[in-house]
Amino acid sequence: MNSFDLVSLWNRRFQSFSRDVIHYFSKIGNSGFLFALILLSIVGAIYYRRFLEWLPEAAPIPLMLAILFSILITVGNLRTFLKEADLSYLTPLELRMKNFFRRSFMYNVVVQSAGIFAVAIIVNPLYMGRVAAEAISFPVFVLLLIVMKVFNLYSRWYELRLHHRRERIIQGFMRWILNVLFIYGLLQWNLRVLSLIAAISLVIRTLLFVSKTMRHSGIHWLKLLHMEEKLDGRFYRTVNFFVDVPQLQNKAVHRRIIPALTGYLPFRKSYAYHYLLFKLWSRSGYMFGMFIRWTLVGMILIFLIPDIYGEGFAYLLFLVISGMQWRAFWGEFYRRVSFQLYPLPEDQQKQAFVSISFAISMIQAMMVTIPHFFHDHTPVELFALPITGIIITYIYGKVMIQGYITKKLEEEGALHG
Amino acid sequence: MKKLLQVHQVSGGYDRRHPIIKDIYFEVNPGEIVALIGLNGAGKSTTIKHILGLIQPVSGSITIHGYNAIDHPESYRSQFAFIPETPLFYQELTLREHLELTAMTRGLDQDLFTSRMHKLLQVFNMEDKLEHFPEHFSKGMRQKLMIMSALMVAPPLYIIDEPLMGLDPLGIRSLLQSLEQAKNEGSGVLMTTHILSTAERYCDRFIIMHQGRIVAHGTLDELREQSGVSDATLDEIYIQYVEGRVKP
Repeated sequence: MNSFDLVSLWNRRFQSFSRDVIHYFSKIGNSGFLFALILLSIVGAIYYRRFLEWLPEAAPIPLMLAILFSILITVGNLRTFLKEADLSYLTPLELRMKNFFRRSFMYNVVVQSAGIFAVAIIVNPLYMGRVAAEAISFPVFVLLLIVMKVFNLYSRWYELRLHHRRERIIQGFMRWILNVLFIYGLLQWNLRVLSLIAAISLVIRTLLFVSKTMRHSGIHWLKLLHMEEKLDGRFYRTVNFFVDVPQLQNKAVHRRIIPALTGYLPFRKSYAYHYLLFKLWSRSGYMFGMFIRWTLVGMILIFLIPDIYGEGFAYLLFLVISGMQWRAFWGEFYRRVSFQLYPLPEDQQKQAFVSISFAISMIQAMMVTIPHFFHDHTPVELFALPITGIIITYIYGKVMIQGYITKKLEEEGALHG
Repeated sequence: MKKLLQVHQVSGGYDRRHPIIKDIYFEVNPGEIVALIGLNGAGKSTTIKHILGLIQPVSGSITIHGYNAIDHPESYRSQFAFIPETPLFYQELTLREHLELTAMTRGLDQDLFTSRMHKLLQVFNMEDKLEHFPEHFSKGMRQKLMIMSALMVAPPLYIIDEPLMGLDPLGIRSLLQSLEQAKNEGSGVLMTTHILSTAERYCDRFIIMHQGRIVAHGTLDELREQSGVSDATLDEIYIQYVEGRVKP
């Protein structure tokens, strides 16, 4: 295989990846969730302004921004477009893969710089209002951030050749410290010498490091593949939140305490699916993680919004978005269980799913209303929110999810019948 | 003797027009171990999938204790336990939880479950793995998980696909002893295997498949008689059939 082939291989992989991304984004666009997200951003924008007004004068904003951006600049996974089979086919060609990896690197530069740019835009009002007077001008700030990002990615690419996680963490940590100093100097222009020193140290450190690793070690294939898998997983999980992703392989988290709650289920045939479903849910990295994250986000939203209408709106949105995840989870559950040949009535899958998802949703809906009780409300307002939660969760869980599953099962039956 | 598994003139596969298996017929009776042998691609796994009810035959019928997979799926599935060649497990469940789930799906009561579990853990030398996740198990240990789940159920029929792959010698011995015990207690066993020397020692009857058809079946003595070599090993008989030296 000559180097031309490797480049066309990269192009093919990039194209198929782009097709996937476009395919899923168009599906998300059509799914109606976009609307919910737009609403959420409008609400977000309103409260963002309030948040800015509320932010005390004394808040160390330059430091906060320095930490935020330094993290964005320091960390970053690199998508290489490698596949597992490359371990046997491409490893012998490693030395000829410069162009392949250069393209991957450029891809990461573009995508991650875009990310930095997006965050910078969000932060812009804060920047203009609170730090601009003592800082470098905003466009130059963003430009320098992106230059720094590219440089950090370059360094990270070589750090990924290190075989021990500890070594990689130490190198990353060193970069992070220098990045914090660099950005802090930009935001406190009287300390600009700090930026200069940090930038020079970073360049010297990186060049030394790169020349050393280049001489001693090749690419750490396993690490790169692992990273690729992680990035794919993250992409598909995010997409899966809106639409069904068949190739999603969920990673399990080996939790002990919550999954042990199945001990309270009766040890009976009719509860076998309840048992299995709860274990799968509570050890699913994604579903359980989402449950915790959404519950926290919901509680914070309710806490931050003091008036009953704002609360009600946010709460409804929360219930709808949080409820959606169960549809995707049903697909996953069904796919995994239907090949197991359990001698159980088919209907029990549905029953177990409806009752478990209903119970979990109800617990979540109630938890999110807790901050509501700390606000100053009339008794009617006080109970309006949890009662709404109970009604919506009931309708969603017992009617809509039940209907959705019945429909899916009929489709499935029609397919095989 | 009451028929346990009856496979009656079954043809089928993934595509109706191109059946992979043709006119397959055999039975497994209570108290016997039957080996299904054949080259890679002979149709063993397809036959097993038909018996499991995962594929419906194009023609012919399969019953276990008189039940079939389409009209009585629940009763049909209650008759057997399946040990697949590639261990199937949930990465979210520990060894104990897999066994517990199996017991629940089969309606075992908790005391029976506990006593069987402890016995199986001991037999398969897995006591210290009880709270571990099979994700971190070796292939052999995962296979043991599947075997223990099947033995936990103590069904009338065991269906086992390549049971010996990946097992250590002690594991193989424990499995074969357990199967013999199950046989003596009246269960039937159908297993596919490539390890013919072991099959010869433990199985009562053999079904030799080739290119989707059954080319020979019977006890070792019957097969020797059919092939015309009185002291042949199963290996030799098998190779004669698949090389076409003996006509079915």
